[in-house]
Order: sequence, then C-alpha cells, then structure tokens
Amino acid sequence: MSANQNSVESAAAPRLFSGRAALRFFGQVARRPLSLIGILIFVGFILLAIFGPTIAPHQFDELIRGAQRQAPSAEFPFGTDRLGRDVFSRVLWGAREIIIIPGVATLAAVILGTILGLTLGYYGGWLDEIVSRALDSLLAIPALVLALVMLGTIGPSNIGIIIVIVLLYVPIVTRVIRSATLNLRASGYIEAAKLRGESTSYILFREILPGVLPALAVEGALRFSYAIFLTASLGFLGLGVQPPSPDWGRMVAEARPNFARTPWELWFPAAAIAVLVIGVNLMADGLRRIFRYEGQI
Amino acid sequence: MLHYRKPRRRIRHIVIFVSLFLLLIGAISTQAQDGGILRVGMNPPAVLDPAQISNDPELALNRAIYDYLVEVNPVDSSIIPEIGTSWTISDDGLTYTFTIAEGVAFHDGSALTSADVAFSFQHLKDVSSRALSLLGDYEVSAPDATTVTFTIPERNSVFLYGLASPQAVILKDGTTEANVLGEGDAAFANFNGTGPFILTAYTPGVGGKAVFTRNDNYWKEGQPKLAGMEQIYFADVDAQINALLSGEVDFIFKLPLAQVGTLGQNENVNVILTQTAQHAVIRLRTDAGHAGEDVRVRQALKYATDRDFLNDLLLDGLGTVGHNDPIAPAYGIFYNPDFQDIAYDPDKACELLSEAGIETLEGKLYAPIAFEYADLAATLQQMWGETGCINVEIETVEEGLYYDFSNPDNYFEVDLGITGWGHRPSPQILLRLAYVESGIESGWNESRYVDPRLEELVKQANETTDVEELKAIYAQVSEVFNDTGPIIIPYFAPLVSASSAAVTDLVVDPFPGLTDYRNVSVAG
Repeated sequence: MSANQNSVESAAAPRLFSGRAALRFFGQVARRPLSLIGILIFVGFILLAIFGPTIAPHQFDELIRGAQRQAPSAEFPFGTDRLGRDVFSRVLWGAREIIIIPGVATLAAVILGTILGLTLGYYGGWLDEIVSRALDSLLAIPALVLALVMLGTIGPSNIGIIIVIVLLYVPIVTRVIRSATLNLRASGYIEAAKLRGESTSYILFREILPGVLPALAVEGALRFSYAIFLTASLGFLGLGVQPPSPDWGRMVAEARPNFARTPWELWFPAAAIAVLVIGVNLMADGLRRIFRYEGQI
Repeated sequence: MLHYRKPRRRIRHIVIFVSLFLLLIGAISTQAQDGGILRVGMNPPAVLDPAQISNDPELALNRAIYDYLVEVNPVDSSIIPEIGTSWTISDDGLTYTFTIAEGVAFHDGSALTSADVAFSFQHLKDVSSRALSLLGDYEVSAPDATTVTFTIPERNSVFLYGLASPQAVILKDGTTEANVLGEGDAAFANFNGTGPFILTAYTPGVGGKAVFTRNDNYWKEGQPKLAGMEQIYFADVDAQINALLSGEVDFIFKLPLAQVGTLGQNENVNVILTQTAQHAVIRLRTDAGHAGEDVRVRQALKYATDRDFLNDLLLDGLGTVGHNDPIAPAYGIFYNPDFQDIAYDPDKACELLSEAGIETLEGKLYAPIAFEYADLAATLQQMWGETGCINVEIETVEEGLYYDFSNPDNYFEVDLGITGWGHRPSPQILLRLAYVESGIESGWNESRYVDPRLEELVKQANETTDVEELKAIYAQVSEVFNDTGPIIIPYFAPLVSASSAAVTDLVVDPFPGLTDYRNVSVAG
C-alpha cells in the first residue's frame, strides 16, 4: 500500500517553483542557524559588491601622500598599505571583483554543465560514454595547474579567468547533473511524459530539471565558493587581475612581504576571503540538508 | 763516555723540539681564538666548478678557497692588486703584463708560479666560461716564473674587470676539473687553491654546510684573521633571518629591504647597507612606430617622474637617486654628483606632450613580478595620472616569462616597460651592452636607443683605462642621457645584509658572494 502511494507521488513531476515550497524552504532555513548565517553573509557580500564602491571613502588606487603604513585608526579603519592606499576602501572595492568574476563564471559553468548533464544522462549510450570520459580526463588534472597553463596561454585578464573557471567547472557540474538525471530517467513520471508524446526538450527542462534542482543548487553554491578561492589564488599568484586592482588574492600576495611592518594590509583582505568562503560553504551545506541531497559534493 | 752523552743530548734535543712544537701549536691556537669562526648563512650552491659559478653561494665557496689576479674594490669600483701585485699596459692598450706575487703556495704545499696563472686563464677560454663576456678574446702566456702576459686583439677598457670576474680564480696548473669531490682522505684534494681558507668538510644542499679552516700558510701577512669559517645552507631568507636571530649564524648577506626596520631594532644585530648599481629602468622603445620615437615623449616621462618620492615611498629612502643614466653613485670614481639632471615638473611634461601633438599619452606599462617592481608600476601609474596627460595601464608578468624571448610580450619587445638590471662592477659594461647600436642585434638594447654622440663616447671609453679620462667621458654620457635618453632610473637599490654584533671589519661586496672575509674577525 505504502509502496503504491510512493509511486503515485513520484509520478507527479515536481514543479520548478511553488509558493508552498518557498515557504517551507524559508522555514527550514530559519530552523538552521548556521545556514541562516551563511545566507546572511552571502547576501551581505552581494550588498557590498553593489554598494561598496559608493561607501568607500577613497578610490582603490589613490595614493594618499604622506599616509603610508598607518595602523588602523578612525580615519583609516583598516589602516593604509605600504604605498599609502586606504585598505578599507580597497577591500570594499575588491568585493565587487571577487563576487562578479566567480559569480559570472559559476553561472555560466552551471548553465552549460546542466544542459550537458541533462542531455548525456537522458540519452546515455555511446555519446554519453565518449563525452563523459573526455570530461573525466579533464577532471584528472589538478584545477590550479590547468588554470595556470590556460591563463599562461590566453594571458591574464578578467575574461581569461572567467573562461578558465567555466572550462574547469563544466565537467564537474555535468557529472553531478548527469548522475542525478540517470536516477530520474527511469521514474514513472518521465515514462508517463514519454507516453504522452512530449518533446525531448520539454522532458529535459520541465520534467527532469526540477528533479535535479536540489543537486544543482548545492552544486552551484559549492562551485561558487571554490571559484572565489580559485580567483583569489590566481590573484595571489599574480596570474589574475593586474595592479593596482583591489583583488583580495592579489592584496594578500602583495601584503605578504610587508607583513612585519603592516600586518593589517594582510589581515583584512585575508579575513574577507575567509568569511566569504565560509559563508558560502555554510549556505551550501544548509541547502544540501534542506534538500536532503545526499549526492557527492 | 761519549756513548753515554749522546743519548742525553738526543733527549735534550727531543725536549727542545717538543716544547717548540707545543709553543707553535699554542701560538696557532691563540691566534685561532683571536679571529674566531665566522658562520655565514646562505642558500645552497648548485655549481661548484669555479669556471661556471654564477650565484652568490657559489661565489662565496670559491672565494674562500681561491685567490684572484686582481679584484674590484667594493667601495669605489677601482681595481686592486692581488696575486698580480703590479701590472703595466702597453701604449697601444693591447698588452697587459702582470708580476706575480712571490711566496704563494697552494693548499697542497706546492708553490704558485706564473704557469698556474696562465693555465687558469687559458682554462676559462677552453670551457667558454661566462667570464669571457667581459674579457673578450685574449692570448695568455707566462714568459718567466713571475710574469704573465695577456694580449688582446682590440682595446677593452673593462679587461681588468674581466680579470676580476668571479669565475677567474687561480687554479693549480693542470686542474681541468676543479672542485670535484674525491674519496676518503682525498675528498677535497681537488679544491686546491691558494686562498685564505681550506675546505675540510662539505655537505651539499639545504641543511648542509661547507666547513673551512684557516690557511696558516696564507701569503698575506696576518690574514685571514678568522680561525675558520662555516657556510651553512638554508632553504630561504626567512630561515636565514631566524638563524641569525637565534645565533646559529653570524652573517647573512641578502635580505629584503623591509627587514632593515625590523632587524635594526635588535641590538645584537648590525644591519649593513651597501650601495650597488642594481637598478630598474623604466624604458621606452625609440624605434620607428613606438611612443619614444619622439624625444619630447621621452623627456615628458622624465619630467613626470618624481624620483625622490619613489625612493622614499618604495625603498624608505635607502636607495640612491642618481641621474637618468646607468652611471650609479655606487661607482664612486665615475659618478658626477654635481650634474643637474631633469627635475620633477609635471606641467612641463604635459607641455612637451602637447608640443608633440599628444593630448593624453596612453599605453601599457609592463613590469616583471620581482622585487618592488609591481609597486613601482602602480605608483608610476598614479604619479603620471596626476599630471592629467599620461594614462597607463599595468601588466605584470611572471619574471621568468618576462625575460623569455619566446614570449611575444617579453622585456625586449614591449613598448613601455620596467626592466631589472643587476649590479655590474663598471658602468662601461652596461653602456656597451644596452645603449649602443650593436646592442639591438645582440638582444640587450631594449629601447633601441641609438645616439651618435653616445656611440662615440662609449667607443672612447672603451679605449682607455685612465680613470680621469673615463670620468670626463662619463660626465658627457650623463648629458646625452639627460637630453635624449629613453630611460628613467628611479633609484639604485642598496644591498641589505646583517651580521651579529660580534662580527667586526666586515665590508660587504655589491656582489655579496664575493665579500672578502680575510680581515673579518668574530669576538668570542
């Protein structure tokens, strides 16, 4: 009887959005303080990215003559760096880059990866075998090494970093979505849609996509946090954005040799990266629990 | 009776010999205690063969074991005699005749002759040592036991500096492969120099060290003062600094500038600043189709650059601001401190640009990721931006890639870039490499700068070794650079070293690996 009930339920395809689901979602979030903190941090940083440059008292590249190496004070809350630039302003300006570059790249990687994953998972067969193995081989190379090689080839620029992140993450997203799709392919409601004579794109995007959405949300959030780290790492290695950019990774790299004299130059961008990455991770973890997504992360 | 006396006399002799021997040992050990043991922290050397050495730890190892024919005075760049106690140069400038010091012995006990010196310099040619870049072509011979003669095909004002190259150590005749580790007792037989120290133990790599003992037969009276020296190998500068602070080493010779303030607060540490000719050039390409083709653009950038501010901001004012030419204040005898070069005047910069028909000078400033060069680029961008007529973007490139000719945007090709130039013992070396027409083809004249006046002056300087004459020529070189030069030299960087307070009489060489330890002592 209960088995029967289950099969009836699963025969109804989950919808993409519904008011009741949204309410339940927020209820779940409210009951998990860590997830709530994660989401608040994430939203906070988005707001910083939007309004940061407006709040910042100085331009990110402005050398304030005679004010280099000043410790944090009322005038310079985060102090000034070795060249006399306001660290507070630079961190605020930097929020935009660290959100936008990984954000755009993650979005593109998730969209491409979802399309690929759905298609491969649904069709299967030799196409799936060939493309999946090709993508697997890309996964075998450590991300940072691949990024260094690619950036070395196409030259360091914002667009370059976005392209690199997309190329790195499409295989990962594809893999996750493909395996989620494989699980759903044999479900009753997909069979039903096929029997109704629905088109393939309808089945992929209206029937299967809502089913893999939890996996997608978790994967997207996780990829985003990794992308932030990767962007910061590339900036740290000097392969990302160019000076005088307030990229946090670059700021940390530039502050390192000056740590003994101006430690605050390193503290604040490093703390900003840490808080953002922890926040996004808490959010991803919360999403996984809420969606009861047990897949591989 | 006689039969009984003999043994007694023998005993007396033995007693006298033994007591003399003990006295001698006593004398040596007191002397040894006087100078102490100097422990120098450094990165491990990779190459031991003196003909092929290049980095400081390699120089330091060889410097301890071997002597040189002549040396460069670390303070004013003049040439000082060593194994070659005196020399004459023929009127045509093509024959150099050296008299060799007497009473010099190798560590194996054999006496030094002119044949050893001639062999050493022939060996440099045989193995194409990098010392040849200054020496050029030459023939060397030993006409008698105390004379060595060099003949060169054309005048070369830096030939003496070539003879003082770090690779030009004096080897024992026939030592075609110097510094090869042997087996057992003969482990260091092949490290056979005439120098102040004898190698007694060597463990390569990080954590290893080279141990030297005093050469008691050293030919210079009273030298070395040290009883011995240890060169201890560390992975990086941070480890060296920690070792100095914990008393594990007495001297480290190459530190980041930021350490001056930090280490300076420690009363057990002496921070030593040595002015060098190491510098960055900000250079414009001057060949057709590039921004610097117009002299007014070159001059505008000079007017727009406040070099004193750059020195204060980036080097804490510890560098030396010279003129916009490669003749550094560190070249004491050749530098003209009275010359008035172009001073900072941003309005004049924009005026010149507008005369040249440029409203805003746009471009990309390339900088290698090394030293403070990325900060220099960021500061220049702001400083030039403040004029309102110069607007540059920055591209920083990993150092190895920037100096790699297979990269299309390498230092030699870019329109506007920052290039690091290491210390050289004479300004002539740089002038004839990088600022003459022949340097374009050889891959050194990165700005493609050709000025007929400079060509002539460099040629004149090449043909004389007379210091006063050279001084007059270099004064004119400064004028040419000031009028049409495509480079800005913001400052000449100092070398930062540090020693424990117990170390005395230490003069650091601008090539720190060549630092002379013969007069140094360490208090117990």
